[in-house]
Parts: sequence; structure tokens; C-alpha cells
Amino acid sequence: MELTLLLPLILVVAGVTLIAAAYYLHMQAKEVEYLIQQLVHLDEDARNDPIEFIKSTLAWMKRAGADKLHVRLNWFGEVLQLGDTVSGRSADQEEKGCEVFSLGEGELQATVLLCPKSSLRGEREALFQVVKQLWLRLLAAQLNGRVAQLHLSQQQMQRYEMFYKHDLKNLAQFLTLLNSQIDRCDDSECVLKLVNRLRGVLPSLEHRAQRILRFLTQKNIDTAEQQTFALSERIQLVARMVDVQVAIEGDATLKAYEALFEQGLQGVLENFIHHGERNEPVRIWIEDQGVGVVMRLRDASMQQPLTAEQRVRMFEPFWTTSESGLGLGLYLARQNFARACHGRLDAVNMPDGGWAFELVCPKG
Amino acid sequence: MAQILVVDDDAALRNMLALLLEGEGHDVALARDRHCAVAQLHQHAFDVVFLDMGMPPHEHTLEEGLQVLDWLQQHPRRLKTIVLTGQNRSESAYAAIRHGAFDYLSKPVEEGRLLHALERALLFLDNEQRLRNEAGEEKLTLTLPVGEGVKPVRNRAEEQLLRQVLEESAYKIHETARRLNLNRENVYYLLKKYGIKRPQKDG
Repeated sequence: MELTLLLPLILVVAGVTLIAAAYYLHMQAKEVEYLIQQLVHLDEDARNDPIEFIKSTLAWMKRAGADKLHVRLNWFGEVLQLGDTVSGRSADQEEKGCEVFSLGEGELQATVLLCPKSSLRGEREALFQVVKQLWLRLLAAQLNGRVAQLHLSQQQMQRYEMFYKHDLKNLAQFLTLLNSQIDRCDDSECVLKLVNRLRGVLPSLEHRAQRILRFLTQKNIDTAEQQTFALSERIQLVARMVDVQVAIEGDATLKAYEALFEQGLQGVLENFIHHGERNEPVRIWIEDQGVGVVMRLRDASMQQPLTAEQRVRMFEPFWTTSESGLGLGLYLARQNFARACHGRLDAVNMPDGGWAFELVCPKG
Repeated sequence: MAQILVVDDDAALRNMLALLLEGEGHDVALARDRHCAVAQLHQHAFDVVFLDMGMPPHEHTLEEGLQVLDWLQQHPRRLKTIVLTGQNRSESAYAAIRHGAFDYLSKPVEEGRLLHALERALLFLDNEQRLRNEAGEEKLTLTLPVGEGVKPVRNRAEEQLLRQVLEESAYKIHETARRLNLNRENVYYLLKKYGIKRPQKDG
């Protein structure tokens, strides 16, 4: 009698338990499916921008079961830390229960420290592994895509071509007019007028020509002799070429490959044309600190501090906030300074709350 | 002798253009960007403007040049604008003409063609002046959608004529009313209708 009553009860309890377990597994599978969909969408939205991808997927990885996620990006010569802070240990040092992954190569590398929640067990751990693998593959694809984009983008190449074509057309127009002016001049007064006018415009013309050459060729200037020159005088010269007003405090002499140094200066000053306050002069401070020369440049538009990401992205090739900018100016400027004087160009936050470009050229 | 404004971000080119035009006996002023151009247009009366379309901070788009053309449509002057640009020809010529440019030249252009364009612009300007003086007629150029009836056409013509006379009379209502043969109340009504405000004086 007791058995006949107990058996159905056991069967009912077992049935309910099975249904509950099946429902639980179904919900877990739905959650994973939803997470995967989100990651795939965010991957598409990021469009080969690994920084955006990491930032936008952090919360979803936490939801999937990550306790700690830290990414150290080697980003075109800068290091950018994203995600959770790791106390006292660097991202490539494995912590207990955590895994470290290295992705990318060359100028773009990511070291990922990923720690699952300690409470993850059984099926939840297995599902986390699925999401983790997907996320790592998407991040690797983002890094590779970014590199491919930089090297192969047809659109950027067209833009690149447009830049030097614009300068070439202006130069051609100038030469056409100059040629006809020379033909016209048949007295000394006319010649004098022409020469005086040319004297005033030659620096800007030289700048245009150099810019075209910079686009078309990469001259091997490293084999040239290093020169010693006064920094203030050289800045004035380049500023005149690019038509930027400067106010300089201090001075120092520097030994460097001067052509490369001038190209670096051009790149930084041109950045002020596109992003700065054109009515205000660019203020430049030069300090000889014995072991090296420090130069800081800023204008009235640089009153707010930069985030770590802004500081890094500024020097990323083809990254620009200006419609007319190619996004190569600061990237090339940094490379030119590095080759000219083993110098380092950075964007640094200042104690007064603003920021400045800082160039440090070591001596010797 | 004409008063000419050369607007170009390339210092070498604008100076060489100035030299050519001065050699032809004209007075030349220079502007390196949109802001300088508008400041010059505020301060001086010009007959012809040579306008580059791509200038900082948008060196490689039409934006800056189009903004100068739009400013001229909002503040009509008795001048002709000749666009001289290295931008993509089909795109920039279409946009420039749509925004009120008189002529379009593609860089690099020979001196002869440049001077011919200037001569044509001055010829039109002189004869339009003659039309005003001798026939009391004003030549208006309007860009309008077709197929929306005649009311928008009338309004645009009315607005442009009003803006032109206001600019010429330095926004003096009495003078504007006299020249348009309206009473002052009508002028105030039209100002309100087209949202035209007297420009703020500097300082």
C-alpha cells in the first residue's frame, strides 16, 4: 500500500526535476546564444578597431562569467591598458585560475589576462569557455583586420593620392603663372617686383614641394651627417613654411638629422592648422635640461586634459578627427623625431589641467 | 581698375595671382581662409573674387569654399565669384554653380584663360550696373526647384532683392523702402517674413 503511493510520488518528483533541469539548460543555452549574438554585433560595429571592440565587449564578458579581464595593447609604439586593473602583476604574468593569451604581431599586439569567476562550475564553465574562445578569435580578427586595413585600404590610398594631387595642382598653377610672369617682364622694375614677391613666397613653396616629396618618396636621410642647430631659429623657419604663428620661450642647440627634424616639426605644426586656434599663436617652450632638450607646444584649444586613449590614438596611423586630415601627420612626426635625434614625441597632460605636445631629444 | 579678392590657402599661389592681377592694373586683397575672406568682404567692396574651394581646416573638401559662396548669397554684393580650384571637376563645378559662382576654372589654368574669365566677369558686372542706371532694372540669379508652383519663385526673388538693397543701403530701412518703392511698414513686414536681422556692429 505504502509502495503504491510512494512510487507515483517518486516518479512525479523525478519528472519535475528533469523538466526543471531541462528548462535550466535551455535557459543557459539561450543566454549563451544571446551573448554570442551581442559579441558578433559589437564585432561588426567596431569595424576593425580593436580598442572599440574591447571596450564595448567588456560588460558582456563579465556577464558571461569573467571575473577579471585585462588587456594590454601595444598600439603603434604606445602601451594602452584596458579593462580591469591588475594589482602588482603585469598582464603577462599568470594569476591563479587565470589564463594569459597573446594575440597579434608587429606594431599591434594584445596580451589578454582572463580570469573566470571562481563560482563557475560544470555547464556554466563550459558555456563560458565557448564565449571566451569566440571573444579571443574576434579580437584576433580585429587586430589582423586593423593591420590589413592600414596596409591595403584602397580608400585610404585614394585619399593619400588626393592629398599630394592637391599640392601638385597648386604647384603646377604657381609654375604656370610664374612662367608667364617671367615672359612678361621686360624691364628691371618688373623683374625686381617679381623677385621681391618670390622672396616672400618661397618658404611656403618649399614647404609644398617638400610635402609632395614626402608623399612620393621616403628619402634615406639617415646616411647624411647630423647637424648642430639652434632650435628656436629652426622652429621659426618651419613655422613660416607652414604659415603658423608661433611664440617661443627659451632656446637650445640640438644635434640631429635636420631634414628629418624639420619634417617632424612640420607634422606637429600642421596639426595645429587642422585642430588648433588659428587666431592664437602656438606657444612653444624650449628647455635644455643638460641630458637632453625638452620642447613643449600648445595653444588655446588645449585646455582640457586628454584621456589615456586619446593620448595613444593621436599617434595611430590614419586615425583622425578632422575631415581633411589624413591621420598620418603625428604618426610620421613621431617616427621622424625618433630617427632625427632618438627623440620621443608625446601628448602629455599638464599640471594646469590642459595638455601639450612634448618632444624630448636626448643629447649624445 | 577692379577691386579683386584672392582667396586661397596656398601662400605662393595667391601671391603669384596677386602679382599677375596687379600687373593688369587691378587692386588686389588676399585671404588665406574662409574667415579672412568674410572679414575682407565685410570691410571692402570687391568686383571679383577668385575663390579656392579647399581650404583649412577642410583642405580636401568643398566645404570652406561653399561656405563663402553661401555667405555671399546671404549678404549679396555686386561682385562676381570665379572659382579656381584643384578639386574634382565634375563635383566641385556643379556645387559651385549651384551655390552662386559666376565662373569655374580648374587648376592649373593658363594665364590667358584666367584673365579672360576676369574680363568676362567685369563685362557682366559693368553691364548689370548699366542696366540698373539706365533701365532701373536689377538682374537676379536664382536657383529654384521646378514644379513647386510660382509662389516660392516670387518669395525667393523678393527675398534676394530685399537682401541686396538692404546690404547696399547699410540696412537703413528708410533708404531701402525708398529704393524699392515700398513704405517702411512693408519693409518691416518683409524683414520679419524672411527672418532677416540687421547685422551686429563690431565693437
